Amino acid sequence: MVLAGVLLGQAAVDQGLYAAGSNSYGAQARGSAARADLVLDQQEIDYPHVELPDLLVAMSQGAYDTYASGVAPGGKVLFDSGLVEPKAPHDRYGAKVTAMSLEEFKNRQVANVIWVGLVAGVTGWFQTEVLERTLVNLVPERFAELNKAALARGLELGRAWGGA
Amino acid sequence: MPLTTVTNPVKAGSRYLSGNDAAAEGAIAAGCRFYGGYPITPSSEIMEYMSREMVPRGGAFLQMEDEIASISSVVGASWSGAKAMTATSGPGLSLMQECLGYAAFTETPVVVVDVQRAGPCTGQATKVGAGDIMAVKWGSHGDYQVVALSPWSVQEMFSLTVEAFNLSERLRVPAFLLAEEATGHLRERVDLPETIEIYNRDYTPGQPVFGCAEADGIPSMPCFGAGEKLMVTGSTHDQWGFRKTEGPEFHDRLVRRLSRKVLDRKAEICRHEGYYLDDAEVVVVAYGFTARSALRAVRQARQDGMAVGLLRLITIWPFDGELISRVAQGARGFLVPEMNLGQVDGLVRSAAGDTPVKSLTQVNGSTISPASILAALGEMR
Amino acid sequence: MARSMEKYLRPEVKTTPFCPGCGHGVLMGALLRAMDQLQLDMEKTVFVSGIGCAAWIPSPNFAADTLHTLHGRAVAFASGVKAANPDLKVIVISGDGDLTSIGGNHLIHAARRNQELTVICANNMIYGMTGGQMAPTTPQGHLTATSVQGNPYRAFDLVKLVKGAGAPYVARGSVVRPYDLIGYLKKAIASPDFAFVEVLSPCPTQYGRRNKLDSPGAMYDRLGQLCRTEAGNDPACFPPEDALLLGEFND
Repeated sequence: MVLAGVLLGQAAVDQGLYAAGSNSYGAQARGSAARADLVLDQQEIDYPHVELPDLLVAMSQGAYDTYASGVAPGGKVLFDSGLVEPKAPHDRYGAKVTAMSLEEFKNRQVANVIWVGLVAGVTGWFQTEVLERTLVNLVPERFAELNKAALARGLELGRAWGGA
Repeated sequence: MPLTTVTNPVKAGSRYLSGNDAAAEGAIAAGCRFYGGYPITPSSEIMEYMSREMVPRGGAFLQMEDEIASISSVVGASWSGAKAMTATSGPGLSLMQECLGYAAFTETPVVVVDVQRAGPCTGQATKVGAGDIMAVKWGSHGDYQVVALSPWSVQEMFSLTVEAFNLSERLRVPAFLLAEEATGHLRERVDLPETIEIYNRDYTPGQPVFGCAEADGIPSMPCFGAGEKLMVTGSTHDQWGFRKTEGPEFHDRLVRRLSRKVLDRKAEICRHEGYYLDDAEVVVVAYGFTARSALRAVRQARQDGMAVGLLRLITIWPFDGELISRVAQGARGFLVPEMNLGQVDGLVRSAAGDTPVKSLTQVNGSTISPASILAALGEMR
Repeated sequence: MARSMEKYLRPEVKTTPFCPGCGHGVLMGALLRAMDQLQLDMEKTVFVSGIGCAAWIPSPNFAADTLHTLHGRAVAFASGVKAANPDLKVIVISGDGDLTSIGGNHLIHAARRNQELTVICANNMIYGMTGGQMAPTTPQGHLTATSVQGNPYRAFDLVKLVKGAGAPYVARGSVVRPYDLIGYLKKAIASPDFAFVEVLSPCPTQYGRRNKLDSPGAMYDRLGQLCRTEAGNDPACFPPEDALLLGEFND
């Protein structure tokens, strides 16, 4: 979760954007309800916390229930359709990402990176090669290929949504 | 004045850093060569960074047994000639107070990054607060002065750490970076310069180390091993360091000089930023992270047709009361939002003259939202 | 004191600050002789002390860099001095209350880290400067300003304490056996490790007069009787119950 936020923020800066990220800290970050926020802009960011998100990724029902109603009008709600029962009919960006990470990649941790790919694919805000380079710099070398594959999987799904 | 331009030793260019990492990089850029510390939330990432970086850069790192030992080791290292620092948060700051008084009284340059959390006591250790404003200034016994800077961004976690070192070395005082959890853990784009200006301490061999002719002078600062046969003591001392625990004139002269050397230089030390002040009727006085909420709120209020401005304090100590008095001339009201129960509010009031001051306080472990400040401004219409 | 040691003292210093009969002057002389025999470079030596009578042994008397710190914190300051400039020889001299009560945690952790520091604890078993209060080194049953019925607690065994914390060199000497003491001090100063020397030093003013040792001479006589060494013990003759074992305590 924290990695996903850092990865997107770092990639944004690497491609010349401004980014400000915050995430849960302390006991929360070690297991329970964790949250990562990211503000992106082409100019310097005056207020760095998220006020009205344009995009939400809900990886759990709790996250969906808490935050989905706060997304900006016209914004996107992405959710793990294996874990989240969406309540609003317009929330159509569901993918069983956690299940996918376990079944296709045999690794629960890469769900984060699949989501990063999904976000990048659906928004078109990120350059693929920058994301890939940033990812390789952030994860241990022995997991680089696995993470690149997960990113590609997410991008593929996200682009399909983006075109939808 | 030995301010020198050096190549930035940390990676220049656009980076995506946490505030705590940026403070550590600022310390390295400023020439810090000793870190003594003790883990404490939410500052520990600074210590972890310095534990990795000090030795490869020719410095030293010690994880001490507590915060009292941390600041003691920092004072010792400073006298060995190293630019030295520690980082902590509220409870650790409380433990350091006696030795911070020692540093002030012996005119030892030390830098303390205080990543403030929600106090008092253990409080909410992982949550934000800004309750140490008075503690860094008045925490040790007796009269003395310090420098304290308040960063509002990750960029300033870097640049004001450099400035804290420069001021500490130049004035021979403890200098604080009054950071906050919200900035320490924020990750942001920073644009780090290729070169930076750093201050290396003044040393003229054979000069008095603890006094000078001027009533607000800053003496030469040698280090151990230079053959000066230094006498450093926390007891009252003459200009050479001989203990003078009797005789009213020694104590009076020393204590007054330690204050005046800072206060007489306020014009050089104190920095602030103004936003929309030219025609502002209501001025928000804010610092640290709260100033970012305030800027957002002020911009919104301007759109709503209110003549409001923001005065952002970068230097908290010494407090620039003259600045407040000047701004008060053209204002019909001040709003002071703070993540404490009004610590800077009292300082603003004491300088605001007849201009009314409204205090907006929040001590719930979260940052003050732009909406809260906007609402408070609305009440001042 | 032999005039030949005067070169190690600041010319401005004409007297010691110690009471008549205080053992700290003897310790000061022993330390100067140890340094002299080692040909210690005074320009590269830093003396660090805390607060109390013993802290005044080096500060301001010694013609070297001296760092007179806060009560209890001498060892922590010294750790920073040494870490920031490993070329300096760093010698801590302070009292028993300073180093082992308020500063006890710093002492054991510095021993654990085994940084190269020499720590000399002048143990007079009482708080002298503040007026004769009970210290963690005051023997059980003895009288002080805060234990007028007799100290109810056992005293710290400083040698066991510091050795247990990991110090490679630990010795206990006494001003009544100054030549042995000089030897311990020399080894401690020359050591590349954390080295600790406890030095038993009488305090006639605060300790003696409360414990029926009315003159400095009586105190020195009593201390002389109590101080034993492993080699000097006659197996046929039991040492006194409160005997103090001197020597080096290293594996």
